[in-house]
Amino acid sequence: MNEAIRIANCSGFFGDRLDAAREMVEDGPIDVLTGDWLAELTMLILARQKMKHGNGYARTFMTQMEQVLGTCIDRGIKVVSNAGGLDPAGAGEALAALAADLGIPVRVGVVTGDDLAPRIAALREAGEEFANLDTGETLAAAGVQPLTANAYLGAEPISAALAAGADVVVTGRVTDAALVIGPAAWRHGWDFRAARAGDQAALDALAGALVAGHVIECGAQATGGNYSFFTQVPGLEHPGLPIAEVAADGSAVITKHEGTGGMVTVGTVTAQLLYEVGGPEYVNPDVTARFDTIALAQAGRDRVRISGTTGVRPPDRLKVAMNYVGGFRNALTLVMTGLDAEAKADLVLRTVAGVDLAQVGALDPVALAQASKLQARELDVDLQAVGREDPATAAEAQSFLRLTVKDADAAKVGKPFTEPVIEAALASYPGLFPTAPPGPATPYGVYWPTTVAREQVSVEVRVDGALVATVES
Amino acid sequence: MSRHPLGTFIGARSGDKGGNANVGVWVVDPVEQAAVDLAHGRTASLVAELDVVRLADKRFAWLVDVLTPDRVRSLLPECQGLEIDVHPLPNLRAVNIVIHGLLGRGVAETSRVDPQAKGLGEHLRARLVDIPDALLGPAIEGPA
Repeated sequence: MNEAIRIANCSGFFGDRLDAAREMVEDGPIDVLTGDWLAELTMLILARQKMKHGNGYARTFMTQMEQVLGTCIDRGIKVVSNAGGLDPAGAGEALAALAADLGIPVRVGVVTGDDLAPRIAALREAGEEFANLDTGETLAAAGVQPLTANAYLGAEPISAALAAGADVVVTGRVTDAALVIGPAAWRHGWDFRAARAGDQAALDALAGALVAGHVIECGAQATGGNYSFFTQVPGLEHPGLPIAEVAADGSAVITKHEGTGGMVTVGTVTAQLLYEVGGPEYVNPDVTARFDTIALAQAGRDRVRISGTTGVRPPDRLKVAMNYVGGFRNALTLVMTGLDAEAKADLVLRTVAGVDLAQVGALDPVALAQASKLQARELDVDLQAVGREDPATAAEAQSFLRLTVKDADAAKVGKPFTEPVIEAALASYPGLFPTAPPGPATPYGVYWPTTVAREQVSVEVRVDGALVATVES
Repeated sequence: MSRHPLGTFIGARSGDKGGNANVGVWVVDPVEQAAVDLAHGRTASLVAELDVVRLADKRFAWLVDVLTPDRVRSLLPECQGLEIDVHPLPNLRAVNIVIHGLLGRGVAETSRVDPQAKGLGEHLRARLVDIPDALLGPAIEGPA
């Protein structure tokens, strides 16, 4: 039986600590360096980047690789990352070019097949309605054209790339935990097909790694970051990032490098287990983990053992994350100081929007916009009235009125929205001022969670450009 | 019975899943003190394990009773009118609260000041509730 594989995380989102990759590689022993770059919103950011600059991957990953690639190859540390974003092939090419520049021989694995955006019309003809998981509305009924559409792939293609000899694997949209399950499955020889057929040992092993992956996928959130009891945590100015030591049966120990800040306790691990989850079944493409079977135990300083996790067969359909540009928005926050905050807010609302506070309470944003004299499709009003008697400080005296408008047309939420507010500066309630100068409209995205049949998604795994595996999801 | 912030022995972590928010809450087990001691490089405190395990279990039983969807709506008024699921996870002495539709159509679309519900759990912990005195127990000590 193989020893546990030490899988480190060095990124919990696009924008996480740049030095983390180097810290994880140099500050202690690891076997695999992983990182997650892709939140739901990130795909939209990358889509805009791709339109502007021609590449749709996380370029900060290349900066990190420049720092650690040589050490990783020297020490046999594998790198697995979803920084490929909307452009895993482009990321693979950039990485190969970087390796050539550095004079380091690197075998680059690339996983593609998650990007459904170019195939939406064909998939709809094949019967996929892409109904919204939250609302049930179909894409056709909503009449929207997604800018990004990515199926969440699982760990099997990552495992296949490593088996084919890849040193670094870049993917697009895989589940965050797949970055951890993949290398664990590769090292321990877990059988994805057996799991799909219902083999309980295979399901439990994958489920254990899924839980470990979920715990470390958000970086410092497992080591004392964003933690309710932060005053207990040593060295939180610079917490070490988490490592999962995944054993052959899928059980794992969560830890961090010795001498780093932060802490790993049953408390910090519990907090992260509960992050962004729903019911007791945690779904992934390879396995569904029963969160009501997980057992946690402190196993020493900054070591927490996760065991007992039961796996069940994954669902027939893959989750898909779509994003479309919903339109443009603009917002302004006005400050009311001292007495009569509600009357002040009421006056300025009537002045700039032609609605009063009573209507704000009674109408939803679309109806409120229709009742107003603004041209926008939606008007959202949020009044934070403090109303403290005898306020001693400015902060105690200030109430805030936040106005947000949205429309398909940027022009309608630009000056037609901000000018009436500016014109009210000397003409409305006493003491009127905004928290920031009025700005232009900015585009906003709408997230559309949905599913697709597995057989519609075929995944290709390449190492140094050569096709090494196709994975039928 | 006395009034204390819910966060006296309850931790919480909140976040977004599309237009839904979730708040995971768990009860503090006093044996956590030993792990915190180790993290600070101190000798782990000896805790009378049988007793404290019972305390953590009692806290969890109380939490499950208290945190009904209606109670969540009254503690977090912005959740009023929204569908709320409460999933107990006894193995973690935790409860996961899912609030449907709080975030509109996702982080990029919502007009909320806190679009990803990052602070929702800490808001819940700050609310005062009546807590049976027998559940209070010692606070966990951080730095010496």
